[in-house]
Amino acid sequence: MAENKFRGFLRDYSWESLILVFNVIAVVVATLLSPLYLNAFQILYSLQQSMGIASILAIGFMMIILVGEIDLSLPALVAVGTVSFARLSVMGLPLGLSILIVLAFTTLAGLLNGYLIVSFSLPSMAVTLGMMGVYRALALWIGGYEGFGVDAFKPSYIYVGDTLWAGFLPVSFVLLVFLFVLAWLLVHKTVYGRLLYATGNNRRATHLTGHSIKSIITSTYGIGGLMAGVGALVYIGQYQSARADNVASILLFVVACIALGGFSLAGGKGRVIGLILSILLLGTIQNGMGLANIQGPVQTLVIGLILIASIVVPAAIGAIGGAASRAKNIAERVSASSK
Amino acid sequence: MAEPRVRIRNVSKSFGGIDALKDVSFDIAAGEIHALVGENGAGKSTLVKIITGLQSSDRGSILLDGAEIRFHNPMEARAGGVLAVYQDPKLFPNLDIAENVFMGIHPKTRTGLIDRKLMYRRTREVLDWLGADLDPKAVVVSLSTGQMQFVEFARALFDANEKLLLLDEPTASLSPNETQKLFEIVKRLKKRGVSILFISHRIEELFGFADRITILRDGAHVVTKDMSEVGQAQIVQYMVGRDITDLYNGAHAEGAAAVGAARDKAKAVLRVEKLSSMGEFSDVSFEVYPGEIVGMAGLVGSGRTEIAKAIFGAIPLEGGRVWIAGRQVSVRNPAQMIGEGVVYVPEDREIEGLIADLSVSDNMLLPSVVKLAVAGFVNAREEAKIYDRYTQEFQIKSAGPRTKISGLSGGNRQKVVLSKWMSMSPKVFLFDEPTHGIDVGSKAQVHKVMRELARQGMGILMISSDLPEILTMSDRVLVVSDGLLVAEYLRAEATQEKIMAAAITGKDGK
Amino acid sequence: MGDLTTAVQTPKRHWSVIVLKNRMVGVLLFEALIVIIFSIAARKFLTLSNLNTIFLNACILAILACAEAVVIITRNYDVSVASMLALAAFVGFDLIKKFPNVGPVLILVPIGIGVVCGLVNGVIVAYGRVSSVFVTLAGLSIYRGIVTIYAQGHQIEPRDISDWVRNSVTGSVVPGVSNLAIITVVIIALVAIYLRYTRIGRQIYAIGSNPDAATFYGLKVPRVILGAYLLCGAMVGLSGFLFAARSSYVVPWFAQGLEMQVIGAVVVGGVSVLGGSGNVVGAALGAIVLTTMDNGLILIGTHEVIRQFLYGVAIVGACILDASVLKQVSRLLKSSKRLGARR
Repeated sequence: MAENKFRGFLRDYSWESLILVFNVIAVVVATLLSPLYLNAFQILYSLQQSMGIASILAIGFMMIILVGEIDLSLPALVAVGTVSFARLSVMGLPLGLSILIVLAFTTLAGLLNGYLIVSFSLPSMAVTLGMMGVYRALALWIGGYEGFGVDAFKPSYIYVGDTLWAGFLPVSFVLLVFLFVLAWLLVHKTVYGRLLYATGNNRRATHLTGHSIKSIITSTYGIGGLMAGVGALVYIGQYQSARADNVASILLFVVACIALGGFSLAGGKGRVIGLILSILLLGTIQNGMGLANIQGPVQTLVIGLILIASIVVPAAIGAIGGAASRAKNIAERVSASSK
Repeated sequence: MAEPRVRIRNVSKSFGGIDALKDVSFDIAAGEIHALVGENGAGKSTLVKIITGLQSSDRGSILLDGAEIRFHNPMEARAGGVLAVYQDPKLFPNLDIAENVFMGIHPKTRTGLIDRKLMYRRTREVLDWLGADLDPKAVVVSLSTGQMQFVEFARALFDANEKLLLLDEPTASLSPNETQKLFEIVKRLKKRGVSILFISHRIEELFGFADRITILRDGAHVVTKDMSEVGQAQIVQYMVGRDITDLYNGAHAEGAAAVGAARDKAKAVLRVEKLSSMGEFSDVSFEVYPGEIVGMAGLVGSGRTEIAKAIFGAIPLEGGRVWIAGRQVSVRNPAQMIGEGVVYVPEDREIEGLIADLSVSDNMLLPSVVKLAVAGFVNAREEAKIYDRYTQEFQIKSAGPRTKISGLSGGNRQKVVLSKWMSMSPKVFLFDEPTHGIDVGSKAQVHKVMRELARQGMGILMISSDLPEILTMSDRVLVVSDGLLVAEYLRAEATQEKIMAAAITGKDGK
Repeated sequence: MGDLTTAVQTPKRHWSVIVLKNRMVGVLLFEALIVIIFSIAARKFLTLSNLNTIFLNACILAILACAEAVVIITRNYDVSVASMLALAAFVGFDLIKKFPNVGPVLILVPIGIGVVCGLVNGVIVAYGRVSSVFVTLAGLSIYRGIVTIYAQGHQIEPRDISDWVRNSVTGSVVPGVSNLAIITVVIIALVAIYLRYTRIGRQIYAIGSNPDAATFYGLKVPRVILGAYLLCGAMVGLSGFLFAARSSYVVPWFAQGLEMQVIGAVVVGGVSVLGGSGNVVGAALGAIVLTTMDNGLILIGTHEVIRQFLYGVAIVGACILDASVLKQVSRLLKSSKRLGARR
């Protein structure tokens, strides 16, 4: 009885279990590659540094992916956020007010994306590519060519991204944990989450059951924008810089986290725990690569390969499975007709 | 006597245990216009797909000019001289007519490049031969449905090597003039010696046109006769004449009380007046009273689904008024209509009624999940209660609430679709082909549920192409033909023949 | 006779149908418009040398837009073009540097690299049946990573390059006309002919227009999609050579971020991302439009901000236009259906 439940659990969570196994393997390999690795603080810190902002964006991106859409403009919105924070800091606004303004701004921008896509039935890839340009231009306008350096920021502004509690626990990490808990509750325990999966799997049926597809999809873009703003807050603390070209290459990491996390790029599949595990795995791999002194672009190459593998392998397995069951059908027919 | 050009011998095909074709055999001679007639689901389209290679038969064979044919796709069939023209044109909207006609088989010049001049000329020729005044350079997206149908014909007919032409409801989207043109074309083909299989519901058009007629019913061959030997009434009789007494047991309960008595329209739970939607239906008015089951019969494509969806708010309603329980409502979207107490059980169960990769419980609770929620959070306990209640009440066999719904049988899936609406306290149930594709036992259960719903005072509109089902279940029968409501029969006076005749001819025979 | 057209009113004059048929004319008009505006706004604009500059600058973008258009017409994307270009350019020029005496046959190297990248992209998208966006997004970083590894921190400098390379681009085989211009026009013409006068070319359009009908008619859809990616890769490889030949240095981060301009050019040029429509000449025109705008804005002294902004708006605007046209046309189609036809 218990064994059946365990088997069922494994089958449901097969992808996540696989990533967990890879996580363990990665830790082992990283330890072998470099003796510096197996240090709790080192792990925590490097994870936070390399994947912190990508994780925040990934939460927003996840919502959009779940309903089967995409938003390429989120990194550009982060840049809008960072330069906005810098300006507001220079203007002397208190942090609380700044946070309200910037988050409202990025959320509205996200909602604008969603509105355009939903109202005009536009392909989200092309539209958000265009909006990416628009937002980058906006960031350039707000921040200027040089952007802002460390002097621009009041201490309160960089608190979130920069501080370590008790000397080792990054505040931003705590924030990240908090966000993941919220995300998990939202996606797996609320009505909204249920509707996200329904929409991602079958828009028509969900609409015919009395839910507004337009609102659901638009709202995911709003969440994406919100997360971009939060990411901006962490960014300025972590890097103490704000330029229009911030996080120019983060999109690949985000998409790789999502794909590796077991999310179907067509929507409707994937779990928050999968995302957490994939972020840990990618972070560990990055950490290990960094300690082994592998060049930046090579690391990016590896991430790209992982992304391809995450997409192609399930499709290949599906195709093989389909072919196998078709072959089985034919075999059954042949044996049936020869009777 | 010479061997007939086409011999269809003992063709059988079943899908998942349901027989679409049972041992069908008949012949078509060269230069013969052979009509194929039958209800929806009688197997006509399946037969066409098997002949052209889109499907393979389970048993039986098809002989063309004495040799057995077994194609794997339409291109192969075309090469073999077998062509089909279907009802919904599968064209490339961004390209022009000539490109559509020649896609994949463009004529080439000596240099190996496409000879566009020749392509346009040959398209012009074939269009002229069809009698269609269309410009080969016209982009397909700007054509009407009827014109698109002619492009399909052009595509099928341009290289003049046809031996067998299959036409599946070719006149469905044509105007009377276009229909006449089509008949002329077919007659010219007949002179050329082409065998033609002509599927149509418009029986009256077949007289003076078709040579022989084959009637299928429930997948089986009923009869093949010369057109001169049968009359319309007889054809209808062959189409539907089945003994229905042993199919569905149990008489319908007292919902019929509302019928016959003087009816006060204000008491109707659903009342519609002069509903219209461009291109789908027009001037539709009827009422459904509490406790009633109103059957809506008609041919496939006559607009019944569109009427139901428009009432539900799933497709735009352009004209007319709707009253629910005496109160006029302005139909906007499904969410709003559900709030008014109208629910819709879709015809296409798998795509519109269910979400395949979600669990049984999630599907069942999808409409009510918001209602039951506590501060936005899913109310697991209430949901479990509902799940238990309806799995028991409707005897739904599932391995558990969290199992994927795709693992359930068709009948059980339909019961989940039904039960998902139950918790929304509906007043009006719109059923669209409720027992299509499910086993007999589950059919009986679904019918039982429907009767119970009626007994509880709900009003039920039941769209169905299953005439025995219509006759057994309905208190009244509405017949829709070509987007118009053409007949209404009380249960006592309704017969399969009358309904089918009304659906086909558009006249109620009264 | 004549009944078919009178029986149903096809509103031939409806704005959406006109737009559908005449997108390219619209692009030309738009180009004329901005030329006029900039001629007035900046004195230096309407000089022969400036127009020449615009045209030459546009050439490479035009070839890239042409390449991307082929893929977009099949209803797919390739966002890895900039990285493919860098890889092809760097490796190609590295070999030219290492084998200075081999000569023009080495042009085949960057083209070959482009083809290989296109092959990888195409196989995964066509046969893996996965979303082209994500696959080529991965490709973007993979190809960039490969070129960085290959470069080992080095860069290629002007003195490393044999003269024939630069001459092939800046020289003039035909007096007064830059080689680059000739090459560009020839390539675009060849591709345009291919798309219009070969069966595979027409199938590229068919697949983008209605993938279901394409499969139904037995067209070999995956093969055609693969072909589109291969063609795109070959052109990107060639433009890598041309781009590098024109620049002074070749570095691993060459042409970073160029994707957006490429897709912008394609979309502005009337090639809809919904697939099945537009042509490569339009894409090339789109490249000219964007380059003209760039040039004019710089001459006026506008901030780079505006340029980025305009690319973005152009893409979004073109998408909205295409989607609206589609919606309108399907609505027109519905209104032409007849009810109760036999009454």
